[in-house]
Formats: sequence, structure tokens, C-alpha cells
Amino acid sequence: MTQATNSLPTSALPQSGASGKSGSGLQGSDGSVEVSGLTVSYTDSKKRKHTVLEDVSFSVPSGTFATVIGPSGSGKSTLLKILGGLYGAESGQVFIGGRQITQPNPDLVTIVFQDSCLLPWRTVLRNVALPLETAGVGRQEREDRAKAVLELVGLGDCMSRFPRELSGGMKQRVAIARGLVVEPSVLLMDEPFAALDEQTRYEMGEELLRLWDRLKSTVIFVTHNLSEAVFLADKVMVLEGRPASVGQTVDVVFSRPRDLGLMVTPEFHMLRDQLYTSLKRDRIRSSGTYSWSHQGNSEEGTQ
Amino acid sequence: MTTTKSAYTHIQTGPTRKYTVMFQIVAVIVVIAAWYLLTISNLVTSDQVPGLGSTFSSIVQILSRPNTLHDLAVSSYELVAAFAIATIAGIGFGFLLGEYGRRRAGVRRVIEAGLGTALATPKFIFLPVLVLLIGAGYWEKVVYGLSDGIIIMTLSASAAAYTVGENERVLARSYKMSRFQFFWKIFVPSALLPVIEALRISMVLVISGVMLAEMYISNAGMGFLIFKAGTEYNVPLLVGAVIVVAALAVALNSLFQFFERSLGNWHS
Repeated sequence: MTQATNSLPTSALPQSGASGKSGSGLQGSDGSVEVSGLTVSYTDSKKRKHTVLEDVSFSVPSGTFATVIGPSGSGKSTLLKILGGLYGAESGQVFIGGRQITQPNPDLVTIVFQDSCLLPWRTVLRNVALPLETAGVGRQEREDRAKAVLELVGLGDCMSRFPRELSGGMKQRVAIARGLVVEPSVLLMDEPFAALDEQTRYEMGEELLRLWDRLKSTVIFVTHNLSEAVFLADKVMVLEGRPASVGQTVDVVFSRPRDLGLMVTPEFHMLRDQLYTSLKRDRIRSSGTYSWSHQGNSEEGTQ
Repeated sequence: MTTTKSAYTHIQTGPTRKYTVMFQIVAVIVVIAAWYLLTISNLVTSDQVPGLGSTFSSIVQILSRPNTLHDLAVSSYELVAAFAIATIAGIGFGFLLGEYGRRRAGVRRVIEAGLGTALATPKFIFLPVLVLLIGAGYWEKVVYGLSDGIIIMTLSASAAAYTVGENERVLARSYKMSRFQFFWKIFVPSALLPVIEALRISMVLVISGVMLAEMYISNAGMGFLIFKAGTEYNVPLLVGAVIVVAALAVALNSLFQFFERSLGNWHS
């Protein structure tokens, strides 16, 4: 892990200020996610219609850590962007905390992208404060809140640095802090650790769990990595078929808090192998051959 | 996460920059030494290459003459007007072209190809036509001066706008940024570095254009002074005026390079 990042400080996120312009509040807010009958298509340059997701339905209770896995091109990132209100669906509905999502709603749901997407001309503090600035929160309040959340992710001493001065892991922490600063009910994470080396990736996962354990927001985490999916989740949703739909949902019942030692237990391996077999079967069913494309994960790629 | 390498790796910092400055200083010293050796040798006459001392005296004389100050002022007015118009119109049109080109790439390519052809065409050959069409006053020199600069600014601003990343756009959308917020918080800072670089190149082209216009369609300005000194075979005045204009161009170029370096550190 990168410097200054090994332990989480004890401070908690400050509550939204009097302006109340941003933040529905992590604690106690309803972060339940309900998706029903979601179908998504796109038209290519030759005017051919491709259906990516078909009749996707699932529900994630408030405060749950859910992961979404599936082969490349199965529409995991598309699903996440629809949950975030960035894309519209052809049919179906998304409700978060009982509110229908048809456009971005940063007070309620924020997205952490695979690319940390930090603005290189802004310091870490100003990057984290960006969503508050956009929402019109006053300077002092947004700085206080950005500082608090940076302390929370262990980057309290990096606030005045620029993104170029940070390691890959630290950049992702800043991106997570930026996602958390508006105190969303739901945090959507699109393969946020995919570009990190394996050790950093799992350490980041461990830190994310500690953070989530404190905040208890709903997290929906897209990944290619089966081990990561099982290690992090209460619930693993598998996107299967073409067009994809939620083929199976696996409840992960390992006790919390979890540490990386969990990953060497036979139960962990059994569950991971169960998911692997399921994906393999689906792949063979879909195309007649099997190939499992991994980004940044050589472990399962050899199987 | 993808690792993005800055497109502006030519902006020098650290030791490379130090060596470049040292090279520039050494180059100036070598030129002055060569000049001196040439003047004390029998290879050229003082009419062909004036001595260092007389050239320096000419520069002082040029800068203290009311007529020269008037010429400098005339050129400055023309340069400022030409540069300002090239910058404002070029950036505005370039940003619009780049943004529109995201949806209509074909239109952007056709317009940029046309501008590229216009840039490659030597505009000097059209100067007599310009004089016949619109005369030979202040604005004619400005128009001629800005003709290349505006094309460079448009092409660079278009490229800068076109390359504002999709990730940043999605990020802006996810935070529900207004168009105004997106423009000032993401678009302008993203595009700033290539635009500053284009400003530097545009400025050099504007200076060249205005000087050339003054040489042929003016009775005042530094370009006119250079032309007059050449036709009168007043070599010290000619060399002195050339050095004044060159020094002005180098100073402005260095200023823009300083901004580029500052922004390069900020961006990469």
C-alpha cells in the first residue's frame, strides 16, 4: 500500500451543513436499490440494433455490499451507468431509496470510475471538493467536508498534492473520497482497482471494506475478478447470457470484518469455483467455446 | 485505470531545461563572437556587416528617436489588434468546431482540411490583391497580419476542444454540472495548455504578417523602418531595427514559453 494509507483515522464524515444543498446523509438514509425489467440496446454505425441487457431485475437492500461479475462485454459497466442515471434504458425501471432514477442524482448516488478521473490541474483537496462545488456548497463547508473524507480514506497529509504526485492506489482513494464527500446513499464502483497490481488491489479491497463498515452505505461494485467479488460482497450478482441478465445471485455469508486471510480458506475457494463454473457454463452455452477475458487479473485467466 | 502520458512531453523541466538555457546563452555568445571576428577580419566591409559598437549605438539611437518610438507604437497597435482578433475569433471558432466535431467528425475534418490548405498557401502573393480590394490602411495591415495566426488558433483550439476527455465529460454529467460549470471547471483548464502553445505560434505568425504588411503597404511602423533602411543602404539602422524587432519577438516567445512550462507542470 502506498504511504500514509495504512490505517483509517477515527474521524467520521461531517454531516451536511446548514445549506443542505448536498448529501442525503449516509447514516440512516435509504440506500435500497430496486431494478426491474431493465432492457438496454444501442444502435451501431450501420444502424443495427444490439441488445446488451435484457430484462435485468434485482434488488439490493440498503447497506449491502453487492458485486456484479460477468464476462467482458456483458454490460456490467452499462448497468452501473444506468443505475447512476448516466444512460437511459429502453425499458424497465431503477429505484434508489424509493426514488426513480432517470438522470444523475449525485446527492443520492455517486460513481467511482475505473479511471480515477482526477482533474490534473486541481489539488487532491479541490478534486474531492468538486461535487460540493458543483452543488453550490460554500467554500469553507466544502473544504471541511473534503478534508474530513480525505482523513477517512487515509490521505489527510496529501491534500495539497496534485494527482501526478500520487500512486495509482492513492489516486483511487481520492476518487473514492470524491464519491463519498456528498454522502451518497449508494456508491457505484466500476472496476475501481482493475489497473492496480494484485497486492495493492486486495489491500485496497480490505481498506474499502473497513471504510464501508464504518459508513454502511450501499455499494454496488463491478469487477472481473472473482476472488475480489467474493471477498468484498454480501451478495454476488452474475450477469449471464447474451443479451445479459442476472443469471444467479449468490449470498456470501462469511462473517465480517473480513481480512485477506479469508481468501485462503476452502470455503472461499469453493464459492469462487462455483461462480467460475457458472460463468464457464454460460460462456460455452453462449458461444460454443470458452474464453474468459480478464483485465488486470492473471489469476483466473490461466484457468 | 489508464495511465495517461502528457501530450506535452516537450515542455522541459529540471535538468533538460537547465541545459537548454545554457545552450541558448552559449549560442548567443557564439553569434556575438563570430560577428566580432567577422568585423575585425578583412572578409567583409563595415558597410556589409557593421561593428558591434556601431550597431549598439544604432539601437540606442533608434530607441531614442521620436520617429522610431512612433514606428514602434504603430507596429504595437497593429500587433495588439491583430493578435487579439486572431486569439478571440480563433479560440471561439476553434472551440465550436471541436465541440461540433465530436458529433459531426466529417464536418470537422472538411473544415480543418480547408484551413490547413489556407495555412499552407503563401499569403504574401495575395497582398497586392488585398491592397486593390480594401486599400492600404491600418486595418488592412491588421487583417493581413492576423490571417495566419487566426488559422493556427482555430486549428489548435479545435484540437484542444476535441480532445477534452470522454471520462471528464462523464464525470461532469455524473455530478450534474451545468454547461457553464463544465466550461469553466473542466473544458477551459483541459484545453488551456494547447491553447497557450498555439498563442505562442500565432504570435510569431502575427508579428511576421504585420512586419511584412508594413514593408509594402505602410509609411510607418517597424516593418517600414526596416524596409526603408534596407533601400537606403543604412546598414546600422537596418541591423538595429531588425534586432529590436527580433528582441521583442524573443521576449514575447519566452513569456509564452514560461506560461507553457508553468501549465505543463500543473497539467502532467
